[in-house]
Amino acid sequence: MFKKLFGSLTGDDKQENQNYEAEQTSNDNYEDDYQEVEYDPETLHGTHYDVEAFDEEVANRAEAWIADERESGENLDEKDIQNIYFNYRREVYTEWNNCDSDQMIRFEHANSLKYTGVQTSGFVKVDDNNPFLEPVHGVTLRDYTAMCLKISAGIDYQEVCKAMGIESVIWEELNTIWPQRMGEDTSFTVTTLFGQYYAENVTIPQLENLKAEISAEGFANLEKIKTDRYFYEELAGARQAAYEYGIDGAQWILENFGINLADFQSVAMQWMTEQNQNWNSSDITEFHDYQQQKQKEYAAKFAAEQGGNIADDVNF
Amino acid sequence: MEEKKVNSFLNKLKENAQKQSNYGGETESNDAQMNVRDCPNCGAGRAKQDGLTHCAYCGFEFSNIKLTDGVYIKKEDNSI
Amino acid sequence: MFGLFNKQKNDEAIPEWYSELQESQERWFSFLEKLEAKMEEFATAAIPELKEILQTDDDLYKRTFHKVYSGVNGQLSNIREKARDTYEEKILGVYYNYNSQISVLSKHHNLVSDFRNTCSDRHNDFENKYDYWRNQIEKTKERDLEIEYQKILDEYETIKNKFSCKQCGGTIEIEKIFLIETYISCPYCQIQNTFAPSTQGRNLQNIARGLAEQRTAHLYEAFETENNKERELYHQRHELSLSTIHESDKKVLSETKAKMDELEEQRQFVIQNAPKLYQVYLRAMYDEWNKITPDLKEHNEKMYQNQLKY
Repeated sequence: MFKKLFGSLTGDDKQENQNYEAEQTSNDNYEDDYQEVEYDPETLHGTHYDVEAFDEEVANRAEAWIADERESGENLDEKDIQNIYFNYRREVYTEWNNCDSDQMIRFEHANSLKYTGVQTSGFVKVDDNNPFLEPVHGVTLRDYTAMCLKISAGIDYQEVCKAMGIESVIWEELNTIWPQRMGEDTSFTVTTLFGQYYAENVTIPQLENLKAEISAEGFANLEKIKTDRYFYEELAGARQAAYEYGIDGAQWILENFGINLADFQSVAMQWMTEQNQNWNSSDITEFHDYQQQKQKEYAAKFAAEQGGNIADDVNF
Repeated sequence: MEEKKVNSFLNKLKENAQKQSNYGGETESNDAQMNVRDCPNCGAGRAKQDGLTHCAYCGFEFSNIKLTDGVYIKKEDNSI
Repeated sequence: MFGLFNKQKNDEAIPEWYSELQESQERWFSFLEKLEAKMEEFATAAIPELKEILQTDDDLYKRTFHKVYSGVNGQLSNIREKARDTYEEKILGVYYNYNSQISVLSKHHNLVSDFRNTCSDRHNDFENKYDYWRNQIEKTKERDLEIEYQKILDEYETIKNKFSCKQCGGTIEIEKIFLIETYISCPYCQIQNTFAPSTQGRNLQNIARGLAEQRTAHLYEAFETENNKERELYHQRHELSLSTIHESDKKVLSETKAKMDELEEQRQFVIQNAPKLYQVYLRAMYDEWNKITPDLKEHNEKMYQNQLKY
């Protein structure tokens, strides 16, 4: 019965039935009904199979292909092999869960560290013993991010140091070593986690009383880009257009909307993380197109301020 | 006529770029400096063998953290 | 209307609708020519301006230069987008319209496909010119980092013995170029002083890699030249292969095949050799980098090891 639902499973019948027995229902018409697959909230694997069985199936298919290729004289390097596994993972996942490509991509994001060795924002797996995450002079990555947020918001770094109870010499070491760790970590855990903390706009008790100045208008606009995705995309598009016309985009956003760079980047990271967690390709296309459209509109405004683009008088 | 347009665009671009303040403000150009920080609590100097984090005389905290091996700082620089 | 399905045996006559394609093609060529002239005029004027701004910009991050640089590229992008949009609308639009109406089997269908190919080729030429001007503009970013490095070294020589301990007055020698603030203990009274490097000294970190790359550029070029040979050899061999299609003389064929085999052997050698030259460059570049900022050697070695894996 399950074979019909899950298509071309080549595994052992008995083993499958052991896994599936508990899920059996009295409904015999699987071809007619849409079976709602339940997914494990962390791994996004379907709960109707074991992850080990999944990995084994992928390996079986991949190794068979690799053997074929090698037999016909093809030379496969490590990248080729990773690619082959990558594609079979997609194939088996889609087959076993009968899902669309958006679900498959969400699954890939949730397991990016396990299968590709690289973290994805929104799904960061943190290991307590990771040497890259060891505190630097007793300051954790989270603390460091909190300090960076204040400084990018416009607060003098000496003030931040005073509030933290450290001398500026220590800060300069932190600001050298944490970025070094980000560069050295090939799994991007440090970078992605930093981004996640930045998105959360983390703060720590020592720094809570340090507040960057923000106007009433800036505060309102900030709330708006947090909740209204279209408004955020509009400003992101405007900022891009600004750079294309020789304007410092971050400064322009501050002057025209009262939002500082740290807050803006933090919101950008929030939207990106949410997008990864709820991957939906039609939404992504819509927001991308919207941002492009806004970028064009603002570009036209900036061009007008410059007396028009230099090729305005050239027509087909 | 066309040359004017190109030149005027470039000039405006240059002017605006020079006029507009940059995010984060202007950068300063500082000379190298040497300073000493005495204990704000008891006025004692900070000797190398006493470590960097606490005053050896009155216990005042210069930095309330535990130093690890860094760029120039070493964990031996922790005051006992 | 256009006599598309006219079954007259007037095969030699060029159909009436062809004039629309001809006109579109002419206008397209003329349009691109004008855009290219604009790109050239603008880039030619902008390049010396950019070079001057880079020299006179005394901001630590050269932000005035970067803003103008972005603005200049913005205009070139604008021109390129204009060409692309026009191609979609005025050329492809017309092409699809005729392509759907005129059967592939029709004797005159080649006029439709030739129209599209000719316009597309011309568009590629335009895109190549765009790339050319972008590259020229990119060169304005080049700074002679040896000059900047020398300024940092000179400054260090001037200041290294100029400092005295704030506690006892003894001379504190600055033993090397420090990249960030650091504690230095006075050799006489042991008191910890805080040394803050100058803005220029701190900038050493920012120019170090670029300077290392500048110094090893000749090794990188050797790698690039070798790497490009693979395509050259491939095309040479391909040309020879095409020449054999209509060749019947056995002697010529065998000579050609021998040349082809030789080219292939060379190509295989180059495929093996180019990565080796890259490794030589990479190690040399990192060695230079470590000479310039020895305090960053530990970190740099880890980065080098990571790069080897990819």
